[in-house]
Amino acid sequence: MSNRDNRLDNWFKPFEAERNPNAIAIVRIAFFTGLLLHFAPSLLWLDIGYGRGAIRVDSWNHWLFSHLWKVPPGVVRALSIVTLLAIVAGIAGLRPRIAAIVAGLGCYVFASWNAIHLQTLALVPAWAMLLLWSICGGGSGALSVDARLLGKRRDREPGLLGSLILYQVLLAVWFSGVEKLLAGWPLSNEMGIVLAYPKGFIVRDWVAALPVLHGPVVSNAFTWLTLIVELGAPILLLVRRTRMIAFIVYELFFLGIVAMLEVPPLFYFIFASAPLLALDDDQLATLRRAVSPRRRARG
Amino acid sequence: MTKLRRGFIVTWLVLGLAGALNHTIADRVFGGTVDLKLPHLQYGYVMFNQNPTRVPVFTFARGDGERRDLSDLDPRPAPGYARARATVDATLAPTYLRDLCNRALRSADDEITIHIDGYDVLVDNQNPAISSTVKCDVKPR
Repeated sequence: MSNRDNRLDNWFKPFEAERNPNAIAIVRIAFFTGLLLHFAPSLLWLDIGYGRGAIRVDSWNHWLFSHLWKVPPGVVRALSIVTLLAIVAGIAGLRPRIAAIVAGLGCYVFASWNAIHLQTLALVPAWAMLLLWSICGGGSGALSVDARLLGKRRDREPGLLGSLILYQVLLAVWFSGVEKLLAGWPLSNEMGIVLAYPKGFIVRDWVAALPVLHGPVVSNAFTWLTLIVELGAPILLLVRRTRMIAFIVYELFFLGIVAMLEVPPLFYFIFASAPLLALDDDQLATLRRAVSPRRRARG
Repeated sequence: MTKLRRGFIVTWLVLGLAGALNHTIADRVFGGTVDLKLPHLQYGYVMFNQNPTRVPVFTFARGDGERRDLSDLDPRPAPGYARARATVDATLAPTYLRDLCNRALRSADDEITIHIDGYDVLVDNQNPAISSTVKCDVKPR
């Protein structure tokens, strides 16, 4: 094997090496659960968003937006049921590639048909993950119907799906930081504006009611913390020596966001679960011991 | 197979990066963005990189006059973010408010008033700077 081949193999190793199936299984369950929480209300109360004469907004595919209003209500109901079943199959880990293809097509069609009650930027990584899952398949080697009932349990899984999902999510986090940097966050106190929002607009009630959060010192600290975490954590998660501390800071950051701001569960489930894919076997075992008191006692 | 897989990996990485640059650098350097077709490359990653300082808060009241969150009018749940959901929906389509109002009427003599309180958070985040209402009922005019 030549040096060039070796270099290439090394470069592609994170995408081609096998990995622990538990991390991707947790990401699968979190992601499809987020998708279910996000889409089920619109797909169950179908008449409000997809009945004749419904107020609609075009945010994704214009062709679908323009043409689907002609579809008969019975077909719409059937489409919604198939989409929801596919999402549930994704959670359960029953043929996740097929589940992702059907759920992805269904969710994209419904979001294009009417963005009201569905539109959120968390759909951007969601489309990427559904597309990746449809192309790569996998993610059901553990914690799944495939593993328990269909005899597909695996000790290792191909790493491609997990690595590309990790790339996609960390890219989104890092470029969120870049966008904020370019928008002048270091020279302004943008978090001061967010924390000053009145009760009923984006912030949770306890944030609106807690004066200590509204002062310039605390809000400036939050502005800088946001920049530091978004620009630093995605890089530090890729370095083994700094990975665990970056993981903890990253998780606390997203926990802070969901505790302080009214954001869709889909957003939290995608962004909080994906960094598990950065952890190697030893780090996953450490994490497992830390969150499981029984294992900690045994250890 | 290896070449195909590696080709896919490189394509995915490059497209992801191109999409991210498209919504950050391209707009500033070239004054516009390119349509990269794929749905996950259609938007940037930040909803508010410059946060609005004038914001609306939506509430409604029935005949008893008690103010409630607008999201209570929408039967579709939005777990953990119902008010933000209603606010985003009302911002996406102004007619959504009237639609919501009309759907929520319970009887021929029911009436609902939606209150829109606009706050300028840099001036006063406790008292609205401007207020308006949308009223709906089924009484003939």
